[in-house]
Amino acid sequence: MRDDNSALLNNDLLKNRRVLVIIPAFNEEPNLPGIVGRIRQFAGVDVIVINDGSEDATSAVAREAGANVIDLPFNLGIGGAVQTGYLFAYKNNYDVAIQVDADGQHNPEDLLQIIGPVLRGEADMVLGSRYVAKTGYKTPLARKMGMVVFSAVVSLITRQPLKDTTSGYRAVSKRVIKFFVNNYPTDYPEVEALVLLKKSGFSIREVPVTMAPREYGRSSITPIRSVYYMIKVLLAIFMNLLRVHKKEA
Amino acid sequence: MINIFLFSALFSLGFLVIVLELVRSKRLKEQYSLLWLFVGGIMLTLTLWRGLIERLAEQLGIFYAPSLLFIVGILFSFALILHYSVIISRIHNQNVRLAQEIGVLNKKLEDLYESVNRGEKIENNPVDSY
Repeated sequence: MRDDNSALLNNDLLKNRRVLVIIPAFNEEPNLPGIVGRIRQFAGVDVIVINDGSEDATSAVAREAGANVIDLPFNLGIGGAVQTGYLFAYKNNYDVAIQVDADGQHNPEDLLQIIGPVLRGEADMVLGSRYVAKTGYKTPLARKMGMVVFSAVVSLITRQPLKDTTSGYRAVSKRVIKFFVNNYPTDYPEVEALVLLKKSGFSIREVPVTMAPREYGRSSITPIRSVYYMIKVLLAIFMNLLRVHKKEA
Repeated sequence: MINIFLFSALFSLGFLVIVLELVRSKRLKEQYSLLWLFVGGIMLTLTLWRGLIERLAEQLGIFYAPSLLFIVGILFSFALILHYSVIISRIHNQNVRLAQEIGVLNKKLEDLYESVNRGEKIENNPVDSY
């Protein structure tokens, strides 16, 4: 995989293309330096950490690790934080933006696989998926059930098989960056964003990636929240079906 | 004799006066006062025009006419609360965008300070205004 990456890096694709990695972070002090360091190994890729009102030293450790940091004045939640990254990408004229979770679940080694189709103009969004091919990730049962439901619903609506709809590892094109500046869901945005993009005429591709369990800390999804998560996301998807979407692409 | 009709009439009237005074003194915006004025007007009409409420109650099969007032009042309260949920949602969205813009601006300011400290020439970036 390493060889593939360096081949891609030397490829013309990345030349004169501005690539931004967006890392939303809320109290991720222990995980951040590692992930930032691993991403910075890729030459020509900028990293912006969106510090979403953390109470720990997230901002300081991210800066120390060499990332650009945007400190939000208070906690906006994952959707608002990620959208800040897209706003920054838009204002600074980036060609591709990639979302990466701060918790170390996403392997930076897969980065170029994910941005490849976007750079080649083959897809407007590329989704890094745990389930397209057999990978090392073991999903907790409750989470698995929710994901099966989301996958079924989203695949039905978008008329395209999409497996890992909750994956936060995704790359988008310049047109999608512009679209996300004004259209991005607030909480639990991952699934809804897919429906929104597809309904607005953008293309999505899913590529297999390997995911590791979180390094430190806990996932924000607790049992009570997961019920709210299910209902909120399904309602949001349903509402998207009732809306008239302007075709952007 | 104080009965529910007299009480309602005085209350509705006082209510309308308070709403108007809040608008006059600019403590309540005109667009948010309209629904309140409408509520006050309806309550006052129903209270004063006794025949109307009794006829309506009879039509609806309500035995005790003044209870129609309560129903109308409660329904309007729901409408108002919904109205506020809509306003809160809008303010929420604006608040999020403001926080995002502040974050991006602070980052830009930081970068500018750095450029200045390095002695670089600052150029106006057309992307700034979008």
